[in-house]
Amino acid sequence: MKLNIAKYAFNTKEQFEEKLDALHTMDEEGNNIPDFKFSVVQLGNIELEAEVLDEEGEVESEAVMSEKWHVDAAWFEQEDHPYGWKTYSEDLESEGVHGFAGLDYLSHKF
Amino acid sequence: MANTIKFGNGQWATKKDSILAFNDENANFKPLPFTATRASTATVVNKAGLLETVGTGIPRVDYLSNTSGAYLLEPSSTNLITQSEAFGNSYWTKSGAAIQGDASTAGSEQVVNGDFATDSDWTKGSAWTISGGVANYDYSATSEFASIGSNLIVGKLYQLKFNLVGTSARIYLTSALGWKTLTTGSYNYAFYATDSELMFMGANDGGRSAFTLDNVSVKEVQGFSAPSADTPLGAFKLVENSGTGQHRMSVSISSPSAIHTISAFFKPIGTNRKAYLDMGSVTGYFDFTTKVFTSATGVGSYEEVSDGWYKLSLTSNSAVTISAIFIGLAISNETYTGDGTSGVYIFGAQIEAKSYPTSYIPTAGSAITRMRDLCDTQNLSQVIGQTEGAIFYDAILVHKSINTSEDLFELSIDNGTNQNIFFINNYNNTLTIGMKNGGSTQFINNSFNPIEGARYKLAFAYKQNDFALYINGNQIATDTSGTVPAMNQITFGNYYNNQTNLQNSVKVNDFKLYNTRLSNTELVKLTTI
Repeated sequence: MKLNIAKYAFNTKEQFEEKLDALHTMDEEGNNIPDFKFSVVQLGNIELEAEVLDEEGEVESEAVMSEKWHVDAAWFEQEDHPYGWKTYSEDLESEGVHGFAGLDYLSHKF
Repeated sequence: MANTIKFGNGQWATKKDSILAFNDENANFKPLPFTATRASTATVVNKAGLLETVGTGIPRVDYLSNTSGAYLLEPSSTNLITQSEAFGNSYWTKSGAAIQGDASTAGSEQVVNGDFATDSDWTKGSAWTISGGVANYDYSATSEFASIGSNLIVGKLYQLKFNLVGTSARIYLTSALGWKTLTTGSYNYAFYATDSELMFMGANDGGRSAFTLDNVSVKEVQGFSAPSADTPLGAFKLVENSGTGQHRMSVSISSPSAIHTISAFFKPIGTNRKAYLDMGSVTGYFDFTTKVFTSATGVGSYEEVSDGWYKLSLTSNSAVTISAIFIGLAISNETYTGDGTSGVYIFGAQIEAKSYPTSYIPTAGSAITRMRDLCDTQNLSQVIGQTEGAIFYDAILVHKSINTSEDLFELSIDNGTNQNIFFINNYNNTLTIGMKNGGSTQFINNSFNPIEGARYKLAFAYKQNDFALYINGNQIATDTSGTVPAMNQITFGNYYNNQTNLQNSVKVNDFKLYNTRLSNTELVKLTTI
């Protein structure tokens, strides 16, 4: 089974949801049926720099959050990013802030 | 009657992407493999009662409180805690408490001249001196102080002990533990080494003080016995200090508004402390003696794992935005005066944007997603009764949908569409059991209110104008009008189309199909718990 992992940074959550909707077809019961097999994890506005707490639990420095809406995806049996997704893909040289259990990003990216 | 499919009931055979059902009519064994996929690794409780990671695509048979095992299928979930086991390291901020390894396993001393008997064996920055049997930090500058003879092995667990005298010492304790603000006292930290060098630093941040160090000791130790085959000595002791306040560890986590569930494994030491879980606006306490979980803003639950370990879980009542989580100790609540020795063993922490806890997802540096399990098989018309039959489903109701926002499915038998279908739908506090033929409902019942976490045995017998539903030995409904659909495929834990948002966690103990409509007496016998 061919599997690729990709990381995306969309401008907004709404933009991501539009892209995700486009990968589905609605059945007569109103259920969104995926057009092919994939797994998508919304990471949201990820932390770029962690909040620092002291021993009393007080904030020493605030976290720095990304303004982008970050998403990790596992695509099955696909040769490339789905249409409209590639523009927002990120090519990392590390595993990043999130992974899929037992699968490393670097050896599964497109 | 002919039993055309047998699945489970303590007889499990699995391999990558496959779990076996079979037909043994007339003593002639015929395997009926189900396609069972999962694109990631996952954990399961094995026969020894220990968590164990199984490989990609390996179906999970779960033995938690069940010696016969149950086939476990779960939707995808992400553990947002990025260090789920390394509680000693700086990722987890300790407040009024410390993380300790098993001191009885301590190896050789890593520090030479830790009692500072001589002015040797330490590399001293400009603000450090050794004299009078102590190391002195004079607060004139931020500077380093490193043990020359130490050579820690990255990834190994060590126990650091020392005495400190100072009113407000800002001290760096190796790269694993990071910066601490300490006052006079004896300190004890467990940490996984992230650097071979044993280096301290003093900081002349505003408002801090000079300090002295003495009796510095670093020894390799083991953790305590954990409920895990993967990390059998991966548990730690969370020990309170003698101060008044909270005795806990915390971590900063950012997760947008959603219902969340926090969970961790605890083993009590003595009977005088409760476990405490906190997601910010949602707090809960578990009393190990009474086994009562109290929470005003969430729903607590527990599972007894093995060897005295509990998996405790706390789910928010409504959507909450997470900025930090706290795990610790409590008496009546989390604020009290500690005795310096009481504590609890702890292992495997998890927070997930889910309305119930799912299986443990280990992490070590990043958030990790376990991908969903799928199990379905097609071309089964020869073993699914096409004009009459009976369906027997024995399972644990892992999670009950308590409102209309979750429309989840336990089982679907269909023809690849929702037009010809039998289903068990977990929705809005009930199990809805239905059968459709050509899109028209032939049987429907939603009167059974199941108990979350409880086993239930369901049997549905069908024949034209003769339907009967039994659960746990009781007749739930009959119907004398209806036709039977042609069905040829079976899906566990989901609707016919394996939709992400319709999938539930299920544990299937036993599943059987019959190609005759069993008698009501047989249905009672089959479903009696």
